[in-house]
Parts: sequence; structure tokens; C-alpha cells
Amino acid sequence: MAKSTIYAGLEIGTHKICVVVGEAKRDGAIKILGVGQAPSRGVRKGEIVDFDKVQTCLNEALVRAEDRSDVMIRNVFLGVSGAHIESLNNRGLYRLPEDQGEITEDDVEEAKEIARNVPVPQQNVFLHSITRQYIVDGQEAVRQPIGREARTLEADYHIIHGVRGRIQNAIRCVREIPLEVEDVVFNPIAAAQVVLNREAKHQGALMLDFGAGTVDYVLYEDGMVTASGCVPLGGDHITQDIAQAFQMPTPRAERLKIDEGSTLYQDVPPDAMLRVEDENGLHVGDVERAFLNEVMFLRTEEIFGQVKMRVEEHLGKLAAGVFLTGGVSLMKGVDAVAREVFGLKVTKAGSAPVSGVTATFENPQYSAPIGLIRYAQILDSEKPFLSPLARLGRRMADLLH
Amino acid sequence: MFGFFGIDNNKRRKKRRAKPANRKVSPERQPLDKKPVTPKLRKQQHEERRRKGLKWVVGMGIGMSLIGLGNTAVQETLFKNPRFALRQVHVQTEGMLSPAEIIHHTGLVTGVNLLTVNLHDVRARLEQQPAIKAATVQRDFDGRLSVGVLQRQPVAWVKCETQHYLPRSVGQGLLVDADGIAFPADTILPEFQTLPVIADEELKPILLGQKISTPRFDAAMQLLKLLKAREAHGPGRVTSITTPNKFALVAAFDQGAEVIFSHDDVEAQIQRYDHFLAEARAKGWEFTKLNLVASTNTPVVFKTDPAAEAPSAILVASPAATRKPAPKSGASKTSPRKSSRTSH
Repeated sequence: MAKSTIYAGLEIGTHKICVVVGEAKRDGAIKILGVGQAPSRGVRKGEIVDFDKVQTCLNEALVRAEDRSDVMIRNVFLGVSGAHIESLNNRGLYRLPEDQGEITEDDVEEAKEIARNVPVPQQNVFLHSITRQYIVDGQEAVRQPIGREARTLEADYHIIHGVRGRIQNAIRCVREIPLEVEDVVFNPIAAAQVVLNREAKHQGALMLDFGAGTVDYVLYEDGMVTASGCVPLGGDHITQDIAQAFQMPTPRAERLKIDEGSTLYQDVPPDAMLRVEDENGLHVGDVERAFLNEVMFLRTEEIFGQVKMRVEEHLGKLAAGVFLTGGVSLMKGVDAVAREVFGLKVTKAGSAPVSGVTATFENPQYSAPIGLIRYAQILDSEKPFLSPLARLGRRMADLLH
Repeated sequence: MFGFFGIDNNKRRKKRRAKPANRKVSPERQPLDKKPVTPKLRKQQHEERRRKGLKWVVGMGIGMSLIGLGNTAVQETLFKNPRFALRQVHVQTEGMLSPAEIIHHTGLVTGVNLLTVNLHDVRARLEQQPAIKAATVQRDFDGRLSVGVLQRQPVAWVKCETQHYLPRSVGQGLLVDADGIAFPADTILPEFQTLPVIADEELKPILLGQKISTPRFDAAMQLLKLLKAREAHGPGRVTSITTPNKFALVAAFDQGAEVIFSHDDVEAQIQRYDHFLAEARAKGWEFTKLNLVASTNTPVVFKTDPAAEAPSAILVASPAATRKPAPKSGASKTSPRKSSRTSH
């Protein structure tokens, strides 16, 4: 029987806080053991603004996840998002010494170091430095340069960075639960691990995680991460628009959006009316369906427009099209708006099938937390093997420090 | 050497050498701290430590109390229980050491708790005694300890005046068993009086309980063993084996006979001795001295003059030996040199 490791992924979203517990086996299979979810409070546009409220909600989600998975959760992979998170691609060129024939591990490290030396604000911290490719004497898409004969080595990196303080605060909030943070992952990077397959990544795909507070995106070209980022607009903005347009409370607008809303307004008869009821089922008024849909369309179009503006230069190379995931991707007609804005094939997608409750991985709301489990598994598999003695030595060194 | 302003030129040179090299001045980018400590976390940790400390103290208290209680219970029920006190030591043995002496050697006293007695130690103490070959100690839980002792059975006395080993004397007497292990004669039992004496003046100081291992003594022990097996057919009981010189062993018998053996090849000499005894039995001869050192013509001194019916000396070296009449002048006390011989 293959040895397994249990991971927990935590996503503190604007709309919900979600903890997913998954078991990753050595053969690569993942089994979702349980999901704990609680409505989120104290989060705005993907960032924590009220520690206490978030901690209350997080505790609730954690208890549910522990109950359902029968796992005592002590450490998590934390998914983060926010408008402060940006990305860029950078290349570092390293010229090998004249007397050296082949590329060594040190040369690769040197090239990486140069590539990482990018002009980002001092208060920013690197979240991810993802190797896109190595270029050896001008030959692109080299995966393993060590041992090759060359004169120049270029490391092409996709660097995701964000404001240190904001990310650090998310960690602090989680640590006070108390939970240990194993690693911090940008949400779309995690989600892409389960939403996009290898083929889609090679063909070129844009994945949008359409959440309540933000739209996180990641774009793959030739199997390499090319762009990623966050647009600080989301489903909550659509709700706000509805609430303002129809002068109703936000919770009622949210329910109207989910139950009746759609972004398809052109074919709706002008006299089609929607009955609006309060929490007790009492009739409080009527709204025009066409107007409601138009409001939703306009905001959705604006959000996609924002994303398009950031990735426009790559859109021509996306053969696999756009993949929509996240809670708002369940909204009616959202794919049609995306198709109209990007001019590409649009697929609504949840996580790729894994073991566990089908409803969990099919629901696009859980793409990012399930992706965190996959990310953790990938990270662990890439770690160099350490003998038990070496592990003990490292642990002792950690204790001493 | 001092320069214009009175500054040591060498010092100035040193200062110039110490000029720092170029280095990067941009501050290091601070990495993400995955284990930050917040005031709330600090408080939690403090609480946790306090709780742990309290738990530890309470746990230690309970643990110590339990250990104390357990110790008292064990002491009262086992170690101080008169049921387990030693009342009697039952000794099963046969030999020189009496049961009382053996009990004394165990070092045990009445009343000691049987559970605290280390049986291995008791056995080791007994087996340290040179006179004891092996011992068994068994704990019976009715206040009794059974001790079985196998004592060394002596086969001979050791005599060596230079080392003050005198046979049949308490304090200076030294006995050996069949394995050649030496032990002191603390008590002389009646049966020890008749034990043969092995006399060897060349012996070095002997360690009690150790084997006496010199070629001469080994040969004497081997000879004693072989002669004892032939006591019924020979000239009586062996009373002593002496080593008058570096090549001979003289075995003396209670009927006055003496047989001289050499150290080497005792087995072959014993064969010749057996042959001689058979011949003597058949002819009804009685001898006072027999020299088996000579391998072909064996000198014999007879007790009575066999001139009338037999020669005074015969050859017993070979079963095929032919007999010739002895000279008439041969008396009962003639030396081997003087006695007549027959050759092949």
C-alpha cells in the first residue's frame, strides 16, 4: 500500500472561508477527505480587514472540516489573493566561464539568482518564482540544462510578488487560530493545478477564478505560466450594483442574483417581471428581469474587460480558450459574456475528478482549495529525498536555531 | 621610522591596506515569515507554557506520590514480609566441607529477605571455594533456601617441602582431585589418611582451585590413575609417587614394592607392567623393585630367592622374551645392575 500524506488547504475568500482536507498518495492520486466551509466575514476584495471576524469564521470552517474528515488539522497550505499581488516574467543570463564545458547546478543557481533580481518595490515579497524554461545558447524550452554543453544559460522566470505586510497579516491571522502555515500559495496558481490539464496548458489557456471579491487569473502558454494576477472586482460588485439599481438590501440582492439573475438580457421580453420577497416570504416589490440582467451583464463585462486588458497580448495564443471557475462561474450567462469579451472558447470548469465526494470537486467554488492539496503534493514530490538521519539532523538544526 | 607629521609610516601603510572592498549596499529583501509571532499568539504561547508547566508539576507530584506509594507497598508486602525471611538453609553435599561451613561460605544470615538474595552471587561465592566443584542454589518460598554442593573428591596428597605442602596435616596439607585441581585440606577425613602422596620438590607455589600443570606432575597423575585401576592385581595399594630425579617416577606400594617409571610414554610402560604382573601371578613371584625405565631388559629385585625354581631376574619387555636361568649369586637385595639379564 502506498504511503499517503494528509494535507489541508485553506482559502480565505471574500464570500466564504473554505478548508479542504485531502489525502495525497505516492502514486499521485488525491482523495478529498472532507470540506469545511463557513460564510466569510471580515474579508474585503480577497484581503483580511478584520482579524477577529475572520478567525471566528475560520474556526467554524475548521471544526466542520475536522468533523467531516476525522483529521486533526494542525498545518495548512494557505491560499492568498488580493489586488496587491502582481506578476512579471524575467530572464537572467549567465555566461559560463571560458574553461568550463558543461552547465552545472551552480550555473543554474547563478542564472536563477540573476532572473530573480527584478525591480519590484522593496516592501514586496516573492510569493512564487516559477521556472518557465531555460534557454541554452539560444535554444528555448529546455527543461533540464544541467550537463549540457553551452556558453550561455538563460533562466526564464515567472515571478509573483505581493505586499509583504498584507500577506504576512494573513499568515498572522491563521497562526492565531492556532494553525501552522506550511506554505503560502497564490490562489489561481493552486486552482490551475486541478482545473487545467497538461494539454490545455500546452495549447494555451486562461483560467479565471471568479470569486466574490476578486477575479484571479493565470495564463499558460506552451505549458508555461506566462501571466497571472488579480482584478479586485468580483461577484460582490455585481450584487452591489443590483442593490443600488433596485434600491434593496445587499442580502436580498445577492439572493436575487443567485436565484434569478443572468447576464443574458437581450432576449428577455421587456415586460417580464420578477417578484421580490423579503426573508419572511412577503412580497416587497417587482423588478424588471431585463434590467436586472443588463445590470449584471454590464458589471460582468467590465470585470472581464479588466482581465482582458492585462492579458491582451497573449490572447491570440490561447488555443484551449478560457476556463471559468470560482463561485461566480455558476452565474447564468457568465460564459457567454466571457466568450463575447475574449472572443475565445469558454469552458466552465470545476476541479478535475479526484477521489471523494463528487459534489465537492465538481463545484467550481472548491477549485482553489482542492488545488492547494495538489500543489502541496507537487511541492512534496519535488523535495529532495532525505534519509531519516538527515531529517533528524535538519530537525535538530531547526531546534537549535 | 616616523614621517613628516610624526606618524609612523608603517601604520599609515597598514591603514591604507585596510580599505574596504566594494560591496552591494541594497538591503536584503526580507523573506516571508511563515511563523510570525503576534501579541495574541505570544499570549497563547505563554498560556500554553503555563498550562504545560502546571500539568508537568501536577504530573510530577502524582508520579512521585505513586512511586512512593508503590515503593511502600512493595516494601511492606514483599521485602519486609516475614513470610519471605530466610529461616533455614538446606545443604545437600558430601565431602570434606560440612554443611555449616558451606552455609558460612554462602554469606547468608537468618532473617534476610529471600527476595533480595541474589542466587547468582551466592552460587559464585560457593564456587570460589577451591574445595567446591559446582553448586546449585534454589529459593523455596517457605523461608528455605536449598543449596546443593558437589565437592571435589581428592585422589592424592601433594608433597613439596620447599613449598611447605605436607601430606596429612591440617593447614599445610594440599589435596588434588582427579582433574589435578589443588585444594587445601581444611579437615582430614579418615579416608584421606590412606590417599597416596605425590611428591615433587620442583613445584612452584600453587594457586588453590587451579590445576597443577607441570609435565612431571601430569605424568604422576596419569600414572596414579593407571596404577589405581590395577591395584587388585598388583603389589598392593599405591602409597606414594615420588620424583627422585628429572626422568623417573617411583611408585611405592603398601606391601613394600617399588616400581620405577620414566616420565615419557607411561602407557607403554604400563603395558610392560601388566605383562610382568601376569607373569608374576602365573609363576607366583613376589618382587620388591621393578624398573620399567629400561625398555627391553627389565631389572627386577625379587623378595625371596627364586634360585631353586626360577631365575632372579626375568625379561618382561616383550611377551616373546625367552627366559634364562639367573645367576646363583643373586640375593634378594641385589641392585638392578647386579641382577642377571636375558636378552633377545
